[in-house]
Amino acid sequence: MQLQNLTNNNKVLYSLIFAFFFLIYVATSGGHTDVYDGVATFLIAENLALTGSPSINMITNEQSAIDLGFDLNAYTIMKAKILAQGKYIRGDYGTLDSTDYTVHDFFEDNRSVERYTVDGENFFGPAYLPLPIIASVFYSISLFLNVPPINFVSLFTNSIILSFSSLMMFLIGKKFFSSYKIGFVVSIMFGLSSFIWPYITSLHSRPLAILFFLVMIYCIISYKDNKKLIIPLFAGISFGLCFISHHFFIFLVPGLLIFSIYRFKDNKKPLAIFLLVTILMMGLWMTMNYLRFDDPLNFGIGGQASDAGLWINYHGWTRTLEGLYGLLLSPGNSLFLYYPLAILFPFGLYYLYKKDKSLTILFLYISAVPYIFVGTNPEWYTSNDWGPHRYLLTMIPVIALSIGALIVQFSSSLKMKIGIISLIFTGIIINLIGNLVWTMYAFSYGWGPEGLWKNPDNSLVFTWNPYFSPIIQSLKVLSTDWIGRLDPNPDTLNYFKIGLTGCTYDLFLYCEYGITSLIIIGLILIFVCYMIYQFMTKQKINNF
Amino acid sequence: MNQIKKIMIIYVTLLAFGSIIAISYHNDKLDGDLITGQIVIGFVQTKLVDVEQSKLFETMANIENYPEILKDNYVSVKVLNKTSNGIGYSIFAEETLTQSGIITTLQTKHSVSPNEVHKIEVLNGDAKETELIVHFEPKGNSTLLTVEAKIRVTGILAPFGFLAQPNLESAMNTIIEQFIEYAKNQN
Repeated sequence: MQLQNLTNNNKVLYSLIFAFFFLIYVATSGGHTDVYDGVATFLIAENLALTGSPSINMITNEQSAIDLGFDLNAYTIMKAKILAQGKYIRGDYGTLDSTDYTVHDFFEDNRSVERYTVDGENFFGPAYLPLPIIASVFYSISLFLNVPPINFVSLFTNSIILSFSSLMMFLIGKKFFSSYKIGFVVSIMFGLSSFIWPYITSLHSRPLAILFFLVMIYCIISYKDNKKLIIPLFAGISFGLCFISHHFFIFLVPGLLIFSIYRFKDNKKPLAIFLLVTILMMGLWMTMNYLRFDDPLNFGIGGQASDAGLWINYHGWTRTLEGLYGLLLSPGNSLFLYYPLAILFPFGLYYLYKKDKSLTILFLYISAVPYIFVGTNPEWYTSNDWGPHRYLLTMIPVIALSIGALIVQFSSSLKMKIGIISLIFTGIIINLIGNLVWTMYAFSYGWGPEGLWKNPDNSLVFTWNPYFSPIIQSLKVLSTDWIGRLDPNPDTLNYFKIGLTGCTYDLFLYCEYGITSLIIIGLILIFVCYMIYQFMTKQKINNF
Repeated sequence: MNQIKKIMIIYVTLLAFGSIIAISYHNDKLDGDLITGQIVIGFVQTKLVDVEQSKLFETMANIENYPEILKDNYVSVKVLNKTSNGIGYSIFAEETLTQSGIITTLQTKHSVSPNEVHKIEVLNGDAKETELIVHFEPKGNSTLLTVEAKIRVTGILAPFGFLAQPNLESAMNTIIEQFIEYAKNQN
């Protein structure tokens, strides 16, 4: 009877779905950051927790930087150049075509760097602040619990963020397709069957921006059934936090803004609230820019904001089309390989269009922008990410929700069911491999024991040669005891220090507490799955 | 519905062919030359060892014992041929080694001048032409050991993580220590 009462309570179901993803994420997390931006995020979080300043501090962060093998000085110089790019784009340093002083000269003589590192202690680089703010909470908890902050913060921050994102996917799927089951399948397609899963072992900001994006979408599609004015208020706040969390979402602002205005157009009051809150969030963002860079219009993104135009100009690159097919077909960076369900994306969009035209156009826009942005960049393959370039993470929720429309359409076709389930499981297995072996070790195995460090085109080898693709590299690592033999304290390579050197699998709990920890989580997970199953069997809205 | 399924089949077929063409094209551009260059590292190590010359020499000359002495690196040793030249002798062997999780089989030639010199040459594979020459010089009850190494590495045998001379010297030192330890324990 008690169980029956519980299964009547949706809040319990939401908690169970959150717990389902959270348990899997914590069990499969490496409990460490990625090699660069994630380390910077951790250091800012540390300084924020210890001194209240959202910056990298050469004194406060000194020990952690040493522990993580991170060169603070080199980082600040590199990021200062990016800041200077922003000023260059806006013409603060003259025109780019100046014949007597080229862009290259400008960056190489380090005058731009002095402008931003003059303090020497605090560096307010172009880092995204919402994630360090969240991470600083975990940092403080780790101090309270007297556990190592580096592992604690890395283990929980993105695991919790992605668990919430998966829950949001469930809510959107449930709302949009009027089915708990499809909602749950959509959340699995997003959280476990895609290349976003290995991002739990990172402190990248994109998952947080995606979470806010999903909250915004949920608010907007909920407004049809729930006319409370708090809905556009939350939509506006989420919209603002979305682009504050990751600057790349600036490119998505026009589409998201038009979509939101279109959805709220029938009623002036919610539209006014949404626009007002959005403007306020823009104001908050500009205030943050002013406090950090003395300029409200300096978003701190430098060349990244100009379709990498200046960066391309700086290196003398030209745009190419290779990435447009490489991101789909190459064994090292294929969207289809690391997210097999993406193969069905065009068909999902087709059926989604029949159901909701404006949402489909928005999804098309959100997919096309990062795809073209990265795909036409000649360096589309050099990011050392698991799967396609991390800017394509924004496509994952869009693809999962589109496939939801396909599932509704073909719910009575056994062949299609088998096909979709096969693609889901293929995605889960591929991305589980990405969790068992840290991507940097997969690449390192090629660079080191296989000697690819001698090949100047080794990134292309990883991208186009199937034998050296990251999936195969990970399997090679798993089949040897190479990680166990790595020197955890090399002079130059910080990722040997960051990773779980000496442990076969990149699973923090397993490496730290043994197989017992995973067995305990597994048993709790079985109970959670049983409870979710009880809920699902009670829902008869859709039979998939 | 059937029309959509047909379109799906055509679409997936096109993707498959597109992948094959793109992968083939780009791998052709890479010329199959995945790993370029060859590393040659040379160094000399000397060591005064508290073991009699003949005992140390015999320990190193008995190559069939290597898997027992160098447990971490030697999987097996198979003697293929042994010839004598009056002053000393040569052994041709097939040695299976493991390093950084990679198992490799090498053909080697051991040229031995009793109690004086033991020269090891790698005859094939990624370490071809690698030479190790070990000199044994008596110093009372001890032995002055001199190791001349000329290590050539290409391909999959670019070992020891990111190759660096200190790493190789350290590895060589470890190997010598293992021989010395083994020789001492023979008492």
